[in-house]
Amino acid sequence: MNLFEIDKIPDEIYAVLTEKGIPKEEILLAAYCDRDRSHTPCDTYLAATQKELAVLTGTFSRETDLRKKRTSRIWNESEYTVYSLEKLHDFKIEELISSARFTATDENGEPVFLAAMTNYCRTSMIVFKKYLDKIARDGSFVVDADDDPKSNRCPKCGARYPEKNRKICPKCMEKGKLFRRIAQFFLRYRLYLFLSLVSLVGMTALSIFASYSSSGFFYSEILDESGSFYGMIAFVLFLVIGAKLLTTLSTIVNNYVTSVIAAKVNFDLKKTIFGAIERLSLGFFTSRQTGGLMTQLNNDSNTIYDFFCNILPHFIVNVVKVAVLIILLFIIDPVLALLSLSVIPVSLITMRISHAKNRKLHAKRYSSQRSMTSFLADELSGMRVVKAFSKEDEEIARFDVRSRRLADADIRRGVFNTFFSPLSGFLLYTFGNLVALGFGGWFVIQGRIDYADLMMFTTYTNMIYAPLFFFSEMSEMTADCSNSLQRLFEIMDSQPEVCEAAQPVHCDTFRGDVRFDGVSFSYIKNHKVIDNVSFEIEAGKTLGIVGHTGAGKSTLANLLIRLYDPESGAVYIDGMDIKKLAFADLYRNIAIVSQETYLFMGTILENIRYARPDASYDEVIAAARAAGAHDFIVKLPDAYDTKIGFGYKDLSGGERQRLSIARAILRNPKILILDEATAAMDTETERKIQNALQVLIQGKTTIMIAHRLSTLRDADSLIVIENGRVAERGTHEELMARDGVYHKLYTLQIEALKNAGIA
Amino acid sequence: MTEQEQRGGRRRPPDGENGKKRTAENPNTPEITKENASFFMRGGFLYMKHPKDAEPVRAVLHRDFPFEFLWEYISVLDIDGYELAAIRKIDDFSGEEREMLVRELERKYYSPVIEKIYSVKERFGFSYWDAQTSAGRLTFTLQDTFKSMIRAGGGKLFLFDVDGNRFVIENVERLDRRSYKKIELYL
Repeated sequence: MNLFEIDKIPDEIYAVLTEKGIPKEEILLAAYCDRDRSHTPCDTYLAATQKELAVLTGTFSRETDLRKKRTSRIWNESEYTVYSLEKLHDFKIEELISSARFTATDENGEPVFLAAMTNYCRTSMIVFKKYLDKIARDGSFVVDADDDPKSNRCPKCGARYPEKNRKICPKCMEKGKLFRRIAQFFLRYRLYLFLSLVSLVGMTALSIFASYSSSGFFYSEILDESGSFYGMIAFVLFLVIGAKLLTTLSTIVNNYVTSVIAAKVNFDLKKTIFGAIERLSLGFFTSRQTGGLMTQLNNDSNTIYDFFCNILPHFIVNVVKVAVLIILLFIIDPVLALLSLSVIPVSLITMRISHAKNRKLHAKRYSSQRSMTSFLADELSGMRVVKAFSKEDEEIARFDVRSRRLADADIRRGVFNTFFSPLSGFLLYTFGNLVALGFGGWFVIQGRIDYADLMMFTTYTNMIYAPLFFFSEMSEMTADCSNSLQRLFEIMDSQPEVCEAAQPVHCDTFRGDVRFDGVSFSYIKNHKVIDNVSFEIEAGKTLGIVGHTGAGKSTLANLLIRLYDPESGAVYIDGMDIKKLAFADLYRNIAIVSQETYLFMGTILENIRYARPDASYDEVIAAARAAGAHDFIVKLPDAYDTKIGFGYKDLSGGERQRLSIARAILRNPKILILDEATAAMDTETERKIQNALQVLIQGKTTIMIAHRLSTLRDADSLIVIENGRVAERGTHEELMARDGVYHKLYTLQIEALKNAGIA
Repeated sequence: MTEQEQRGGRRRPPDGENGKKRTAENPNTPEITKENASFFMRGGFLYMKHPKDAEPVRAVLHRDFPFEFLWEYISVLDIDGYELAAIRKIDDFSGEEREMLVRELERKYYSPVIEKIYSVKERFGFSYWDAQTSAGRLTFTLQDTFKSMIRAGGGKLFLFDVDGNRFVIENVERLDRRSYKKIELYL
């Protein structure tokens, strides 16, 4: 078996270990920690062989040999311990807040402190622990591609990817790559883009021609006696009208193309983004602020569209325009051209400074805006509490602070723009014109150029300034677009954490045996929600899961339906790891009824049929009857065709719950999860729903998660979850006899019910 | 037998008086001082000895207000996260014992102090920091910079990087002008 080096281990360390009787050839696993056992910064290397775990601690120092003028690295060892893997078990990464420790339990049940680390090294050590467990259990391991350090680090800068499932290093990501990638997307609109470009070029050429015919050409060819068209004013009018007509035509073409392409590109972009979002696992949404996700993506698709269909063609046209105008200026008089263009670099520098400052002011405004928006969202959703505590005045004061900050940012930005934009405009236009007029006038008097040339020259120099302004703003627009592109690709590139196996196993019908084997899971770092949980349910039996709020009960349900995958351990259905099962088969055979009912906008019929779109009307009614929903449905004026959801008929919690049970009945799954299905109900409604549930669970493997233990009495077996671990297991009678956590909880609840006069 | 015992783990010492478990739900979590409890280290782990317990129990210190009070309101938890006791002030202990508690907290909440900021670069939703800290010059990455910061009283600013490491600026107002300018936007 090859050595799996999770972190780079220096050769000197292997040499030291060899001296100590652990040759490199025997080492299967090696990693690095940045603390010693007393948490002092130093180098700790861990190496595991088939039988032993060596922990070597020390520091490297530099020693310079002055004679040979060479500096070498010296290893100063401070501690070395070798543990026999046979004597250790239950390896753990005990996550503290910003540090962690690697521990185990020895044969006497005493904890053993193996190594300490800051969170920099924790990720590697989690991998180390995973494979050490495998060595201790099986004596060997196969490295998962995902754990290969090379696959998790940026090949350019060596830094670990900030997001595990997204192999992108934002630090090294090139903007160019983003643009090249999206260019592929826009290739399908190449005909429209070409038409847009042609019409823009036409408009630009015509505007230059119109200026030429109404200034230089008018003076030198029409008004001047020596001109070829002397006195033919009607001719020049015809030319101007012709040019204007063609400009209008080009504008129509351009507007038509723009409006068509805008709708098409926006539609395609949104479709692509939404498709990508739907594909992602639940973890993506819980790790991000998703409230404004679609709004953000809407804005982003507009920005991207605007850049590629509007800004980019204008940029190309402006480049051509500036080039043509500069050539024309040089044709009129190279010296005068050089003199007038000399103002441009100065103006461009001023504009750049102005934009940089403006960007900062904009960012400050954005942060104030963000703070105020999140405050408002929070505030409005919690208005009931504000009123209940009569905190209106305090909240108004809090709002004032944020609102004032935003107003201040607006004022600063506004004031800056009020002064700076006209100032940079003044610099460019006025100085440019002054130079052109001053030197040009002098050149006319000297007879170097004529008056018509000067008129043409000043017209062209004025035409050059607008594109220059455009260029100076281009970097900002590019930055905006690249940020939007990055967000777009973030969604598109995000790999679902929960993926279907490459060659999934298909299984039409499940028997319904469920087994959790050493399952651990955490939603966020430093907080294990499920810790080494194992249990089994025979097909057709009912398992009750009991525990305090937040003990990890619902997480077990989420793991069974693969909303998440366990960090370690596995979940089996009929002896098959659910990771290997085809999604469609898994979801067809499992149904969940939870406290949170999701009904989408549509009719009641559509909502019930969501579970099985091909269900007949009779089946839908039968399911609704079984769920105890039929009675309230038929009382509605439109019965099963009643529209529900936002803006339509509002159903009560109990009614919604009964619809979701009807859905589950219609699906007729082999495995059923009831996750606090009746927790939010009053006693009367709960009783009705309990009856419906009894119908539902007949002959199915059922996992019942409940806070009210009375609902679980009839379960075939029960497990008590505490702190993510199985604390007790057995039947109701067994657990009551044990006098443990279950007994205590049950007695407390019965007492509470008695006090309330219910039991 | 509990699951923990089945795995060969050590049984938790008997719970408090009358066998009542001292959990967070129990409002009578005892407040401890050097008068009624003692701490010691064994094998690198912190243990608490309380007169009500038959034998010492492995203890984990936890700050109740980690951004406001570093040395007050400290919960003493068992390894499963249940509160065993509460320390009102670290100064309720003295000498070597106090030092030990301070050391444990410092290890758990290890947060290098940022003294100078060389650069902060925003790249596609992440910010890359290069700073001089009490632990030397460090580079680290924050995801969604605004959300990765918490302001505490007295100008104190806590930062949380993508790995879960913490950093602290003792007083943003006292940073040198150049460093302050780099983070001004986020304040």
